[in-house]
Amino acid sequence: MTFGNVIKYQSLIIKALQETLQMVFFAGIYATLIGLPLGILLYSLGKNGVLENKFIYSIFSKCINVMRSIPFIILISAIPWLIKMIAGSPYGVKGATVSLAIGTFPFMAKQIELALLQVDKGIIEAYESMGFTSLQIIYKVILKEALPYIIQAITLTLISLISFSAVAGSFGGGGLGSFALQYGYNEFKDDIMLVTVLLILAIVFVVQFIGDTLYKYFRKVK
Amino acid sequence: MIEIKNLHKQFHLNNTIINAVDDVTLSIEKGDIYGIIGYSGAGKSTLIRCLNLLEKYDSGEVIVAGEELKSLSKPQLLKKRESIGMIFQHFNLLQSSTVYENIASPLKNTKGYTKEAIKQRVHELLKLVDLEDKIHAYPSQLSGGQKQRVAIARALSRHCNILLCDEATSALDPNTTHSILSLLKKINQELGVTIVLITHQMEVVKTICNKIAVMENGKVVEKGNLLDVFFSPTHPTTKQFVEQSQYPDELESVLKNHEHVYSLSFVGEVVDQPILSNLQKQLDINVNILFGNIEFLVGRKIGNMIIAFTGTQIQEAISVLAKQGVQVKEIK
Repeated sequence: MTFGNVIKYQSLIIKALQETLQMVFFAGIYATLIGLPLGILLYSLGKNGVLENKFIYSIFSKCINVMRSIPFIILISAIPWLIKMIAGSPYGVKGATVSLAIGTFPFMAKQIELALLQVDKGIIEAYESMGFTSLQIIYKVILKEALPYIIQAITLTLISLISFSAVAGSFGGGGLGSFALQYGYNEFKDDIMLVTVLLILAIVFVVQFIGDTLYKYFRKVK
Repeated sequence: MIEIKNLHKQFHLNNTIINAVDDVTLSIEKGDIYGIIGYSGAGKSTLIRCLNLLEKYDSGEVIVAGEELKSLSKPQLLKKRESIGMIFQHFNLLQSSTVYENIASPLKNTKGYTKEAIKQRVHELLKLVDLEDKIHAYPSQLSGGQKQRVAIARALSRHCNILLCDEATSALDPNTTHSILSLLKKINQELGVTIVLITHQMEVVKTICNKIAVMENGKVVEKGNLLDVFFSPTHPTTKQFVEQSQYPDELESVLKNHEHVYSLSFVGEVVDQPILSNLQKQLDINVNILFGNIEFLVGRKIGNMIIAFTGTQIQEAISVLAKQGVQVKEIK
């Protein structure tokens, strides 16, 4: 196999790479901005949480689970109107970013809830005994203690976001996914296929590496 | 300092009702080290949690320094909790924070502490608990005893006058337990902090408490000064605790080969007198000592012995001993 096509389409590959990074980066930020508070809320409403409410929790949790269970490709085909409303157009990098954020924030919320549940109940009780208010316990104790697990949750979400971004690409979102489909698959250019797969793998590895490093740094167990 | 009156707390578990705290009345005075002992499931943990309202009791009263806890508003309760420190079996330190940050955390959350004042206070506390060299360590780098010292420093940081200890030494080895108990005693004596501790180890109560309450099935079955309860326990559970802490496990097999076995307990100056030797000189009797020890409780000597008599004047011997203030109990 020669890499003639790769050299020929060099600038297009770089553009696709940029688009993918842009989609993942911004969708990751939006998903975190929505998913993190939702995860905290979900945790607080849950059993022994500071706002414990069985009824609201069960409705809320079911909604999140349902949204999480819909396959991404079906979700974005079902709501082009919503994406259009938010992004202006369901296509392009902007549209794809919005659909990716919508597709991943429920996953993020659930992961954040699980991360917060890792915090030892005893520590929370200790700070209750010191006269901390519920709010103080959330941001001075739980978020602080759960930080390494929150980083894990965000890393995990970003990884699935990268694979979703390839799918979103096939919906006219651009990026490495659509590039691979258009040139690698439809035009039988194997070298293009190989290079895009390697690029996506490289992004996954880099994200995982950064996530793991931060996790170790913030988890002060030596 | 703490008045507990007719306290009740029930739990509902799978349609059965558990009386975790059942009509408990206790009075804990300023300066006490009050030990509440019981087997697991006796309700002692629930009881101590009622003393800072981590557990909401169903009925009854807990009056801490003149204020009934349930009658306090939420902000008043949070303020009140500042004066009631608590330490736990599993220490419950912030894993992600250093020793310094752990001890400083309650201070940072309290109005009126400048950065400089916090720093000064933390150093003071580290000196008190003897951990100055670990100031920048993380909890995972500390031993169990060191973690509990950090937890004690954190609990004391805002000059609390009551310290609740929830099985604070149960996760520690005997040596470490002793050093933590000495620290608690020092805190009680030097800072005047009233201590309430719950435990299932009689050793702990014997080492530092001046008062004791024994709990079983949610009820306090016996309470009073340590010396009185220890010297003449009335409830079977109390007797069990006292005996477990006094006699080695192998005693049973030693007693097997003897008749006329009695236990003798004595307090105070009797300990220093050769009472048994006198007895043998005066009466036609021989004393075989099967077990004996002398302990210090609340600063007083307590002697405790198991003996077997042989000879003809056993009844006379018993009455002579009783006259000297020795408590004699027939074992078999």
